[in-house]
Amino acid sequence: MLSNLVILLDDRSFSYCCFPTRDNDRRLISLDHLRSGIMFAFKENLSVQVVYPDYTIPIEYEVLLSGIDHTKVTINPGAVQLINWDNCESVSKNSIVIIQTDHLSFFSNYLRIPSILNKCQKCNVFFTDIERFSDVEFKQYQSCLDDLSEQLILLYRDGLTPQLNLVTDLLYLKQMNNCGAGVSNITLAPDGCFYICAAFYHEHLGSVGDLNSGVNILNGHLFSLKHAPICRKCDAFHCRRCVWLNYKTTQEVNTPSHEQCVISHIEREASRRLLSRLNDEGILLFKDRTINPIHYSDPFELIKKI
Amino acid sequence: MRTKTITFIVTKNCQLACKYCYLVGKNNSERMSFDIAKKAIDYILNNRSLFDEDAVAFEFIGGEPCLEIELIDQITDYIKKELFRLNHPWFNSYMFGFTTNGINYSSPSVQKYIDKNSTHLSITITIDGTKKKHDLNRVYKSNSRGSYDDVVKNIPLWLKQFPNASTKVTVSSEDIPYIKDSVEHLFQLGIHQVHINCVFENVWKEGDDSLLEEQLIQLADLIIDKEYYKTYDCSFFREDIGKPLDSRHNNNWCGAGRMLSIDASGTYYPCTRFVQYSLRDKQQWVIGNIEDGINLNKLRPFYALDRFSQSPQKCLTCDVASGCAWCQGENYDSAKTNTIYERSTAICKMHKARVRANNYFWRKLYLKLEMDNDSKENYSHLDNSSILLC
Repeated sequence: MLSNLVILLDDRSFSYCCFPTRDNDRRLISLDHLRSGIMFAFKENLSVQVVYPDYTIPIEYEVLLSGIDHTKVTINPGAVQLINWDNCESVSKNSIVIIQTDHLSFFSNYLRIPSILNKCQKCNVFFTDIERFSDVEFKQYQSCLDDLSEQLILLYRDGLTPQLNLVTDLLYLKQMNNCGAGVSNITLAPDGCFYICAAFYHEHLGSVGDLNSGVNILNGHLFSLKHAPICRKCDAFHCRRCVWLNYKTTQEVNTPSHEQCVISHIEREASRRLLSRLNDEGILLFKDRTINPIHYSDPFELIKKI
Repeated sequence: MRTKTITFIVTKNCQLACKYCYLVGKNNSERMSFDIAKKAIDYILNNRSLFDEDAVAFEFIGGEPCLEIELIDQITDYIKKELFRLNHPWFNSYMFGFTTNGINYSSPSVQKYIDKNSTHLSITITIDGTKKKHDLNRVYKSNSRGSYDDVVKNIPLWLKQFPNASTKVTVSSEDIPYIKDSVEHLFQLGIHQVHINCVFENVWKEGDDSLLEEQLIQLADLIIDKEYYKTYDCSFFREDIGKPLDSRHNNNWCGAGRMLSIDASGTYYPCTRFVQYSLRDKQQWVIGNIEDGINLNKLRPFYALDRFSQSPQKCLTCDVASGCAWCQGENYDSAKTNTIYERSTAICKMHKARVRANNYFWRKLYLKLEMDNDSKENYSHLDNSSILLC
């Protein structure tokens, strides 16, 4: 059931997930569409998340948005802040920070994350090129996560509770907690139409309704976990399960790629090892959590055998 | 034993323009070259980790494959040579096969090929039944004349060379009234196994299910009263169809994704039904090519497919679900979105009609067997499963 409306104010609105931010021309949503979108959210009882562009929006938009409660996603310091490796020192205290990165940049910069974690409430790292990981780079990623876990342990010892999505999300989760695009979230784009998410808009993958006719997702059940044969039995609960990436790599929104599964399971294993270390050190924040060891890196291996 | 089916689309040309043919894009210009086939064979035979099945069936289709028998000969010679050279596990476990319209079957070139490869060869001739039924749909491209006369004259030779041969009969809306006579006619021609099914496309009209049921009941009476059941088999009647299915029965029906099709340009597909010339409304589903190999991510949806994830609720709770077939390619082509996860139910009423007739058949047959002090165990072909992957 839909619970969240994401409004892209402009074609230059930042991406805060696996879909890389593009250097598009400006295309600001019309004030009428913005007003109608907010009204739609009210009538459908949806939370509103507004994604800002990299420029100051006109005052009339600020006035309209200031009158509603919503989550702001912006590069400016605020509740949710988008940063990159170059400006990662400018993190505002207690914010939720999002870093969008390709995997090679991650390998070069990942050791900056602990200092970010010192300042923010939570750091979410999203890879924009999961499909490009090679087998060798999987191993390198595993090693990076182990390095980061060591640093996290130091922070835990200092009485902090650092949150890095790649390794700590799974410690909190006991069921799937994915992106939710097409299930709980829907996106209103600058053209006044609804899309599964921003990626579906920018990649011209077809709208799922508009402000006049409402949301209509054909085969909408395929976005749900129940109809994802590989995912519904998986316990990498923190996985983003990016449906756009699914569609891009496998042609089906309900089927993840090999790379997406392996990355999620490398993170799962890193979480398991971190949990074990924390318990060994008497840091019992997650004493009720169990993550069992597994013998596969891709749950697809279990299905293929059938 | 797991068998990999690898299909070479050697030509898109055909003498016929069968009205129910799902190959909507046939033409006489696209033809596979030996070089393309060779590259595909080299890739397949040198990637055992991707092709680890115990046995292989190399199929050749078109259009009409016999139009390219010399090419097929060249390809299969190369396969045999390479299997031997590589000491490949498939060397003792391979078959070549094709389904032909039968028109050129007795030609010297086709006969020469059969003679050369007979121990590892399976050929099916498509003959749709009586002349009337066959000529309703299987007509020449050039003048719309029926092809029955040119096919039936080759049947005796075919059965002599392949005594256990079967034929595949397709039923569409117009030829329902001819089913009973057609199956009997095929039996009388000496074809002991008739694989017959209704097309999966949405061609059915109001009342077609009643007509089908009536025809199948007449066919059931014929098979039992004339004791055809003792040595002949018609796939419409299977004991395991028409039962409810529970969560244990969750496998996908269709083998798409677990086979490989290769077209004239060297592009790889999960099945021939996903090649553009087989699709009405959708873009083709490519999984790779001879240069780059197979992109396994494009195959994942096929391997992950199960009955639950693609079937609507009415199918999951259906009391007569077993034996209700589907074609993944048709599912994809008729789906509301670009997905293989939407099962077409165009055939629903026809399946239910079949189930009713099937129930009648087995009730009557068991009564007869009891009266004759006979047993089903004496006729092993009656145990053929309805689950046949294409």
